Amino acid sequence: MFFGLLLFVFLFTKQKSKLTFYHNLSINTSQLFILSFIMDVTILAATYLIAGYVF
Amino acid sequence: MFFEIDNVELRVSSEHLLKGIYLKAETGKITGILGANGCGKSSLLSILFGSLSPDHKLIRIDSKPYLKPLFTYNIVKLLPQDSFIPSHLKINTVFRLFDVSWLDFITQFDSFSEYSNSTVKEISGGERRLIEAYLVIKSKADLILLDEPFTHLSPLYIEKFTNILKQEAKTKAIVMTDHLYHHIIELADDLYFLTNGCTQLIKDPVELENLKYLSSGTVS
Repeated sequence: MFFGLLLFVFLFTKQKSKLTFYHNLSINTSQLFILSFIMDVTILAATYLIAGYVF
Repeated sequence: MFFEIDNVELRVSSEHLLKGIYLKAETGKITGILGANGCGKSSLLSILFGSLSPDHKLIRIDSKPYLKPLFTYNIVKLLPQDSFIPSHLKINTVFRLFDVSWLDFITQFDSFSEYSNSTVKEISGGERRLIEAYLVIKSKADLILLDEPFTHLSPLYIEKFTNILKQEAKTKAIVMTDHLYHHIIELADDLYFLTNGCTQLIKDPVELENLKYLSSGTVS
């Protein structure tokens, strides 16, 4: 949930203006959220696999 | 190709910031917007770009209505007033993302050649502004929106940037606003004045004196 939370903070603070960077690259807010969600799930899965292997 | 925006209604704290807008931008032309601080120039550019949703708006391209934000069609780029590139990115990476040639840039601005591997936060505010303005104007887009592009630029950079702007305007529609009114008046093919939430097409810069935007005798 870290990246989802990060995106939430990003959208509701003054950092919102930075979205222009992504919009200029034709990436809309929904796509940004989906990307952050995929990254979130990937990192969780990797952590689960590594933790399972180590312990 | 021509771009039109009208029927814009934008309320801020129940007050109408924009209510009677008509603006037309055309490929091969520079369209200037002038107006006092807080009159809604930046909001109008953001609405046209698609990052700000007003109560009502109608955007047409070649008379065909476009309902989704224009940036999703990959035909428009916006240079906002504030810096918009994440400061941790390397400068050459940003040029690659925007598909703009770094070599062409340093050919025109040779003092930047040492910054290829630097991050955005390592350069000065003026240099950062120049890079952002250059990236936006040189990007592959049909409509370019520039919000105060000359802010923080030194006179020499303004001169070079103005020449690039004239060159790019041959194949793109450019809408720009700035408080350096003499640059806007000189560059713009069409000039709009924004006041009380409405746009007014300016035929003669002297009208700006009558509208109390400039003091009497400034342009006449």
